Amino acid sequence: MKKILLILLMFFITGCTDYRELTDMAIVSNIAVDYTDKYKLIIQVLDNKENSNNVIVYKSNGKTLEDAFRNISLECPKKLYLGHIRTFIVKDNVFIDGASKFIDFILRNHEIEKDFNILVTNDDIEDIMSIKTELINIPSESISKGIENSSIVKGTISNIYFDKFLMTLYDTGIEGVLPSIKIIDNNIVLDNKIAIFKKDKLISYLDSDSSFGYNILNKGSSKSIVTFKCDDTNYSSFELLDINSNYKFINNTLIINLKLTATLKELNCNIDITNNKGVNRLKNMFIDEVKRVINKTIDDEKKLQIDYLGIGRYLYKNNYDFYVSNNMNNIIKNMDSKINVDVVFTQKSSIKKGDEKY
Amino acid sequence: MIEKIKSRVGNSPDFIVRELDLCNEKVSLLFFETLTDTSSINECLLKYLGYIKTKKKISLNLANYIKKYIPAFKIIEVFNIDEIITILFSGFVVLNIGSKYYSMEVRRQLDSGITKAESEKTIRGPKDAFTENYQTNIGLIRKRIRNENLWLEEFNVGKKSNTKIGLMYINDIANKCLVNNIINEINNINIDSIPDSTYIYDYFKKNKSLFPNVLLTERPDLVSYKLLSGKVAIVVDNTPYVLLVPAFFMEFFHTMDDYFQNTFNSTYIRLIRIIAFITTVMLPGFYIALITYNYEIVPPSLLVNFAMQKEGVPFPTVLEAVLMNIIFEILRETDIRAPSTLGSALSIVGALVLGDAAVNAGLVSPIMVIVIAITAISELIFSINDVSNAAKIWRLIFILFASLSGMLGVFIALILLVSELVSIDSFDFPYMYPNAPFNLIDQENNILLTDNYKLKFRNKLTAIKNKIRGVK
Repeated sequence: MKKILLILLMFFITGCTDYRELTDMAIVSNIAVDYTDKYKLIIQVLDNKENSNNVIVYKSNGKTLEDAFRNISLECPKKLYLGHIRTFIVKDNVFIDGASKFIDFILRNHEIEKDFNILVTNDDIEDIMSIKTELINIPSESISKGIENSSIVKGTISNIYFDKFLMTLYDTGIEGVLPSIKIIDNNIVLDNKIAIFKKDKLISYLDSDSSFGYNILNKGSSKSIVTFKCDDTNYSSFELLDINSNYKFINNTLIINLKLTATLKELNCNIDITNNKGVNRLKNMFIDEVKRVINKTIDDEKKLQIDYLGIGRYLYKNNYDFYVSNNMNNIIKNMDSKINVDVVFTQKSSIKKGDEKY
Repeated sequence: MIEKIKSRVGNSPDFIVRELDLCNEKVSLLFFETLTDTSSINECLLKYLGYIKTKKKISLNLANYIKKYIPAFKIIEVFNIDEIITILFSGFVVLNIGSKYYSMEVRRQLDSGITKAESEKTIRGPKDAFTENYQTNIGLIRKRIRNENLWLEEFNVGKKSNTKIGLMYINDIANKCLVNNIINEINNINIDSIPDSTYIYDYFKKNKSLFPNVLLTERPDLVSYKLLSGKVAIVVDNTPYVLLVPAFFMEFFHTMDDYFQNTFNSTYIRLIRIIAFITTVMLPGFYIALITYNYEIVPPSLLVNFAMQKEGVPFPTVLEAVLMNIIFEILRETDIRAPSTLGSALSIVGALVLGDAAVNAGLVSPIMVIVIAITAISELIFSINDVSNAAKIWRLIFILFASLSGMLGVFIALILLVSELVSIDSFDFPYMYPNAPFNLIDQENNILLTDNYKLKFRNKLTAIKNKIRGVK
């Protein structure tokens, strides 16, 4: 009897009994938020009807986000279920006031899993939420798959989930970054620029070169390509296979050591890669390009005085006295940088005559 | 005396007393025509007795002469009336000469004969199965182990039925303690009749567990294999199923076919059987937990798929699952009990009602039909009925717990299931051996089956006297 009572207690005192039928809930997959004088909320709900892969769009306003969500119930007959959101699109003027405002809603909601993509946009959210995606019917799925794919193959997009964004936002000595999207020709397109934050406010965007540099330093773009001019008019491309980066900060100098493995993908110049001379020429041009990109990233950091690379965090962990006794802004403004790039070409894919050596 | 016997058996019309007059002496044959082979009585006994009628010389010592020369391979003198009655019921003919009584066996074959194994089919290996005949069953085992160490002990159990029970074990392998234990248990049985070997099994059962703690089999090759790994076989008259003691849980996932095939294949199939067991016990509960409580762990695309199929079904998922389960059990039960001529009609109705019409009418979701179908198919993988019965009950427990608190309930039920399994013992042998207690060598005949083990070792726990099967 005691045993049976114990088993029964397990059901009632754990608080894990939230019975809800699948048909009674609306599965939200995409949320977009804007803020002017009050919150404007647009959500996409997955359509349960047979043989349709569409989403249904609901809009509402509210004084708080929670209020806006409750207002949707005036229109939507089922209870919203937020456990499966894939993307959370935020209009950039929400961040101008500070991200903490709406992040509070997400953190307090027990239903939301923290592994969705959070995105910044410049365009009107109503336009974005009304666009139908072609290849993958569910827009949120399409966006999050797109970010996942292009962060690997392109390298200018960062695949940053909400939990990672939260970590960089509140961690000491590092600032948050977010990927962004825009509308081109009535299509949702991933933007080449990374949004950067100071404290929790959106300050600026990095351009595509700086974004690429940021991703290389964070080892985020593992299969992306480096394209550079190899003579006056023509370009060549190398694919990065492996990125190994670490940095040190000694005597006001940021020393970055990069070890790259790359493979030739396209060679349009007349360079003889059968001998070491030609290969070395390519290698130097490749290294110059990588250095240029990373220098751009560091220059942007110095110019904006926003420590998105996490130099402050490095100092906080390794040289705490130095971190405490100096103003971080001054350190960043006055630092020098030294970049050591070491590259190994694994294969050169001999196609042309005389290339047999590789 | 004869009149006395007649009245003891209630003047049964099938009790025949054939009186003969031989050399001026009255000789009578007593037998049951329903239990004896009457043609052999006619052909042999009566013909022979009619032949000696003409010989006058032997009239001096007729009883001795008949005892010496009658064409029967065994002739026993019986003395009192109880013995006579017992032996009459065993299919003997009793010959009365003067005051002496002799008995001869002319038993009629009353069983179905050796047939193919019905419920434990194999692809390779012998096809014969036990019959209802005690002697045949013992013979089938003896045929496989021609060794002096295969010992047989006989008991008569059942106050009214007097059923013969044979205990078989290999003297230099089996655990003597276990044998004595079983003998004690059999002696303690106090019942009027033993209709089937499962009655013995009920007497052996000490706990309330749903899982069987003896192995029931109709395959003589399995029995001989298990005897050689130190188990004790119990053969019961009138039953084509032999009990093997002790039983381990993992043995229900083994079949005789495993030993006749490539061991890699056997290992793979055993893995499939374990997956099937887990499926048949847990799948409906798991599905209910996923769809009503823990939808967070379902990938979104799959969840939408579930939601699409569930759309428009008026019942809660739990009710749907229980209903489908009951409908399937009804179908199964009717399929077993109905005459085979109705079988095809049944399956058509069942397939149409369950598979198509119910879904089209929007009463059940297609995914629930799939879930119950997979569950039902997985259940049928066990040839031993007791295991699938236990799985059936545990499935309902899982459904109940899952409907109360989702995944948490499923895991509570899982803990209960595991604690039940590890708490069973079969004649003081741990049921979950070789998993708990763990034994490294016997792992090779657990989920795994290796050639090395197959050719070399016996079970380490039961074969205490002789652990090596052979040296490769």
